[in-house]
Order: sequence, then C-alpha cells, then structure tokens
Amino acid sequence: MNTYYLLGLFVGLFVGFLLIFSALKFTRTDRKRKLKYDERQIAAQGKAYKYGFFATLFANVLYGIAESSTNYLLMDPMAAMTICICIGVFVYAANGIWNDAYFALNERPKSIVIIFLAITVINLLPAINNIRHGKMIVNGTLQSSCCNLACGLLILAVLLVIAVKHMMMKREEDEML
Amino acid sequence: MKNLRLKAARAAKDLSQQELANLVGVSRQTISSIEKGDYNPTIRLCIDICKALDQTLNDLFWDE
Repeated sequence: MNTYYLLGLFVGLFVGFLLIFSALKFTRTDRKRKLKYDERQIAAQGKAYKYGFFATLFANVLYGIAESSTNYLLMDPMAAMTICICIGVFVYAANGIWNDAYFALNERPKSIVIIFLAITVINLLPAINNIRHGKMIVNGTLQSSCCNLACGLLILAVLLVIAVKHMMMKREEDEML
Repeated sequence: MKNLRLKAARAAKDLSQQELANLVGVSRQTISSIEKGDYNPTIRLCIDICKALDQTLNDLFWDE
C-alpha cells in the first residue's frame, strides 16, 4: 500500500462518514435516528426485498453462464459482484419508490435526493477519469475500476425513478383538486 | 373494492388525505390506497381511522 492509496482510502472513508452524518442530521423531520414506516409501506418493502433478492440471484446466474461460455475473463470478479449487487439494489429501490414505500414518514425526500445527487457526482467523476485513461476495459476484461461507474449509474437510475414517480403523483394530485 | 364511505367521512370532516394520514400516523399514499381499495388495512389501522373520523368500524369498513 503506497501513500496515495492510503490517502485515497482516508479521503473516501471521510467523505462516506460525512454523507452518513448528513443523512442522519438533515434528512429527518423529527431528529430521531429510527425510520418510521407505516404497515402498508413495510408490506411493500417486503415484496421489494424479495424482487431485489431474486434479481441479484438472476444477475449472478447470468454472469456465471456468460463467464463459463467464453474462453476469456469477461470481467473482474469485483466488477461482477458490484454490478450484480447494483442490479438487485436498483430493483429493490425502484419497486419501493413505485409503491411509495421507499421514503419513511419522518424523512425529507428532498434532502435524500440532494445526498443522492452528491453520491452520483462523487462516483461518476472518478469513473469518467478511469474511462479517459483507459482503465475501465483492459485486454477485453471489464476492470474493478468500473465499480464507481456502476454505483453512480445505480443512484442516477434511482433518481430517475424518483423523478418519474414524483411527476405522476403531482399529476394525480392536480386531477384530484 | 373502493371505500367510498371512508372518502365521504373524510370529506365530511373537511380533511385532506394528508391531514387524515397525519392524524392516524400513516402516509398519504396509504390513505389513498385504502380509499381506492388497493390496500386492506389491519384492524388496528381501521380503529385509528375510525377514531380520527368519529365513526364506527361498521360505518366505514363493514361490507353491506
């Protein structure tokens, strides 16, 4: 481990803690750490977790089949793991958002969206840098440096679902008035 | 099945879905889902809604 690696690790951990602290401090309406969900939301989350679990399983199986069908390494194991997890998390989050079960009763959705935007930028910047320096795909193999890109795209996709759902809800409320 | 009696009782008290949701401690979407008939609340939630609207379980949730 060289100095730059340690420095990068330290900065990454620091930014991570900063984001978690911001999430706990600024996203609650009642300054309580525990998130409050109503019974319908809990039931909907259960289904979302189920779909996310099976999506992760399916992604892993697909990766396994693809890997065993070729003579060369398609992607770094870390990259494969991250992408499969991101797929599962997206399915869970999208399902939760679509069924109004993602945001807790004592959460501020706007603050969460701001934090998500920050996370997207934090992940996409090094990803763009990696693409520019040709570190993403080396000898036809997707490298672990694509993890930032995967995470950034995941959060971006979640933000897109939030935006679409918000527009639909706005339209519903306008029709009700 | 839509719960029009709940919607009528809420309107009679001049409460929006959000206001009723705040009184009962659930999300607005849960109240909306109950009124649309997309979600069957637990007995506990039914009781809380009845208390908030000064109605009985029969009035709001019993199939006629």
